[in-house]
Amino acid sequence: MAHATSRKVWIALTAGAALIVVALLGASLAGNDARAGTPVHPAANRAASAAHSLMSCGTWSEQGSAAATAVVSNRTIRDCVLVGTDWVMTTVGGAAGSANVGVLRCRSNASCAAGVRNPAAYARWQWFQPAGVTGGATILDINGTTLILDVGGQQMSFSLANDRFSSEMEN
Amino acid sequence: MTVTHLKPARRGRRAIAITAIALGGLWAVAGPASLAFAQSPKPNHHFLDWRPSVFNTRSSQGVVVEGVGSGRCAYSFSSIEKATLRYVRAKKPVWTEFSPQSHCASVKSYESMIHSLIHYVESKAPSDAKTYWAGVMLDEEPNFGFSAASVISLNKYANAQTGKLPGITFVSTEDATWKGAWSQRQYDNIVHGTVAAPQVYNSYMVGIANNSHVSENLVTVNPAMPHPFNSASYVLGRVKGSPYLGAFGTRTTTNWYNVWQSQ
Repeated sequence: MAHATSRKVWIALTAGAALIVVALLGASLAGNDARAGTPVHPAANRAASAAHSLMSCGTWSEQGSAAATAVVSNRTIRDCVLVGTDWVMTTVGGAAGSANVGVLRCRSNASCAAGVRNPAAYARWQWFQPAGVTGGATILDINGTTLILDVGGQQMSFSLANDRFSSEMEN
Repeated sequence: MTVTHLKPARRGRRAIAITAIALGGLWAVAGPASLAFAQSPKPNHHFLDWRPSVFNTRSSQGVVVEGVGSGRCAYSFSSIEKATLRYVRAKKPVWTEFSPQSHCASVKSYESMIHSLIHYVESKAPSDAKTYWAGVMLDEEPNFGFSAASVISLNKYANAQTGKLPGITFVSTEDATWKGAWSQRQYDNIVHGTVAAPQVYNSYMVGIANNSHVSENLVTVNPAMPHPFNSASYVLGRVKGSPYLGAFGTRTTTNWYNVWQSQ
């Protein structure tokens, strides 16, 4: 009798497991995979591919990771993106007077610009702050090698060609 | 004796088996997403940013005219007006975005711009505007020079202005905050009464969006964000609630999210 009950339990467990496998297969085929918070569906893929001209920093840039913390300390990474052959990072939430626009120049080093390894292995970050202006930085637009930023409530441009800020005023 | 020892064990096994079947059944019916935070129904359309000098109706189902600061800053208000009207007349779902910054214009000036924009678009394309102009999107952030109270005031003004209009035209708040800046309560008050379009660029903003008293989000994703928030699929899988819904002249209501991309 105990043997018969065990068989029933095993059948039930197997049926439950089979249902889970079928569900996972179905979800996978439908592009509906939300496991571990990484759902993939066609619309999201379209957006990701539509956004092909910007390349974000690699896995090393995850807020709180050892590599990212080594670069930004306790500041919050607002943007991190490749512009031409320069990695550009902006930060917010740091101490008053922090320089919040970071640039790492890969120049002709293709491995550095590939975004796979932490680029700090190839070059060092330089940090910039406009004279007389304090506050966090946010990228508002990127036009060629010119960044349009907000720094502490002021819209300004930053040229990656000459590392200069200028007021972004409308004529 | 044997029976009395076996009974609790059998009950336990049966309970495990029933639970497994129930979980399997739930998973089979609702899919794995039912066991995780995710936008539901899934967004299947997106808006994409373009600066006013670019006219592109092909790359996405909807567009955002990215006006940035305007006022004393780029881009010019007239270019923003004209770009908006052009998309409306092309029957393209469109938001008109400003990033209000205190050095570009005062709150009063931004109110004046919103008023003028509404008058401009509504007077030149009244029929198409009520179907295709989603409205005014405001990108408000703690380091842009305005207090939470100021942006709440601006949003209320914009809300009142668009509330008088026929059709779909409304206000959206494409806002972001960070630890030590605007609090959850301030964020909630800022986006209240608008279409919240949170810029979900890190785990902190996931928490802000998921804990806000907003059931519907036009989630804003950005390929220039740090890993893994540069991935639309990752971000949309982390934010709960409904997406922004809109039909824009079609017979089918579609589910939307928003993609910032400089171009």
